[in-house]
Amino acid sequence: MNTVKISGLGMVSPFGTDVGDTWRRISAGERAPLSQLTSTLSSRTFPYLAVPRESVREYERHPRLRRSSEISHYAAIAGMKALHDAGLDEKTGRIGVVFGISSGGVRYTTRFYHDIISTGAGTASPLLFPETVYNAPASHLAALLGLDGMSYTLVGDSMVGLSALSLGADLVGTGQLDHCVVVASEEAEWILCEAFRRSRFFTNSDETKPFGGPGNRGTVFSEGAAAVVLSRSGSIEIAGLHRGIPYFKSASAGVAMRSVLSELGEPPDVVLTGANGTRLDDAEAAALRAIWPAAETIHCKAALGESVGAGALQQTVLAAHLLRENGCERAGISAIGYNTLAAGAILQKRGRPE
Amino acid sequence: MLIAAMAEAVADMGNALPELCIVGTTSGGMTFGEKFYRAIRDGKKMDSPATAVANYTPQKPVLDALEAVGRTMPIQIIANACATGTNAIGHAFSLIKAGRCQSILCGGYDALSELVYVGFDSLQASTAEKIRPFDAHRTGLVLGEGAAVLALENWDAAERRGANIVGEIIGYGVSTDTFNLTQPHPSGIGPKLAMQRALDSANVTPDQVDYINAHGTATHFNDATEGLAISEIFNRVPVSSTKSMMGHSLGAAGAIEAAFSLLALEHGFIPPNINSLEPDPQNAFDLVANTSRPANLRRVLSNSFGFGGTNAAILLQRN
Repeated sequence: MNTVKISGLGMVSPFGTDVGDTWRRISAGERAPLSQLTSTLSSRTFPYLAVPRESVREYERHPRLRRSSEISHYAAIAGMKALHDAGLDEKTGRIGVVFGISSGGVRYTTRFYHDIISTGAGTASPLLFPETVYNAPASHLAALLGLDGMSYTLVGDSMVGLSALSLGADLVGTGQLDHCVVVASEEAEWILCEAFRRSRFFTNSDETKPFGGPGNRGTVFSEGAAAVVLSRSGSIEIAGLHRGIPYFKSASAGVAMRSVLSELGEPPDVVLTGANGTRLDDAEAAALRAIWPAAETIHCKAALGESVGAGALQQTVLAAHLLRENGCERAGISAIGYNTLAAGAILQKRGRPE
Repeated sequence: MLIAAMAEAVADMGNALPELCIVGTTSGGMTFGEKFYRAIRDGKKMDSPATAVANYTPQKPVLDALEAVGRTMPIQIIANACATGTNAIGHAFSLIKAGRCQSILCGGYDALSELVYVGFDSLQASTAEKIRPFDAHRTGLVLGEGAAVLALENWDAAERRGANIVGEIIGYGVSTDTFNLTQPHPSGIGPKLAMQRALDSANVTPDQVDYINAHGTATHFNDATEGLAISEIFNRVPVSSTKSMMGHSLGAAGAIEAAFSLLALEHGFIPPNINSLEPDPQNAFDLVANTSRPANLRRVLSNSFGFGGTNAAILLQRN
């Protein structure tokens, strides 16, 4: 069976919208600057890593996107950059979209619900509600691409980008599509930080310390997007991709992660981990030590923060970029979602001898 | 609801071991999100905020259901608005057809929430009256809730182990209509493409379809465009919307209607489109109004369409 290739990359992060520059700054040990989100229901503030506004203005005034929120803008930029990076355009035939998402358009969802309970159901805005639907960002991107075919939105946690990659690879690998734009996106909102805080995943510290050991204190929330174009030709092969193994108790996350890594085959040279400073890092670290002990680990979330819905696909984009830049021959991605699955993937340069 | 549906499907499945679970939903655990927000707003202490947060996520009910039935497998949660239940089944069908999986649990679920209820009301899509799909006097949809899970299996594998085969999925078609987030293109191109692609994928002609279980929400826009699309492709095919009896269960609807379609095939009847007063004269199909009809069905098409312009159709065949 022909392997599915990655032919284009796009990314939006607190470092901007240039994949190469983002990688350079991560490699240099830079951290994106912190911003503050303030609860609209209390005076509590939350540190987070924001996408620089000036870097994402491109589609704000597009007729289809002018009423949408940042999650759709980030996705549009990442998706279109990946498409153009692949040498494709909106007129290319048989393109589909697979979208990975976590809480969706949470800014409008929060605002819409706040209006309902504050001023009554009769004042709820019909302009806001459609943007609260999980597949609204995918629909906007499909409109930009002029699609009339496949568009799937997958919802999940911080590993959902790998679920989306898996579904996209199935669509291209089975010949249902020639190309698939796989996108994942996240926008920050105080309610998410509050939810993470109450789940003890959040830190009010100004930094994320991946694999920090027993002192793991939590993660810093961030926002952004990532996109890859999957095709049957391209410079990067998806050599291994696991749909994931669920865990029902936190204590089982490590077992699930070990199984995933074992089933992915030959170890990679480098792993872009999903480590984010939370208690799940211990499970991921132990699994990597046991199954891929020689692989160098890179913790991109130390610099980028935890962008949840976008996180695993950002790892994937950075792994693919590393391969493109001849940083290694074979790059892995590992991710444990906070309440779903452990998943992983291996990318390698096309034509690499086995 | 999902646990009950999953348990029934797994029991029916016998000794088959599904490799993947694909479930659709539109709003997941939204009611937990609402409780969480209200607790913060009102300054109330929650017993277990972490549990509320976990239960808000759309994947949690699926994990709970798998744990309840003692199965472990990868899960994919598709959130393609109201087409999602059919997308889950259709994608599972495609994976099995391509040989990527032998056996998949698939379906959909949704529970009513305040946000979604008010949302449809804000769009003036819902009605306080009876739901009258494809009727000249239709006034909108009535929301419902539910869950359905189907056990899909490669035909040969199912036969080898002596499974009770209820029916066969033979076609799947999808389309995206980007005209508007909540309104279909008036030409009906979205539903038309999805239905035509489902027929093409099965090498079936329109006259070989014996009944269409329509999306039929009873909203002005859906029924106008779906009715137009059916009228253009098919010649006087019998049509009903079982939402007239069940309401619109959003992410569960496609899966529930697939189950109804299989039951119609198995038991030889067409479920009715109740509350019908006067069929919309624009439609050139045979609306099965108010009472069910015995019928020797061979193939049934089941439609689901949703916000964001997602359209999906599956074609089912009697065993």
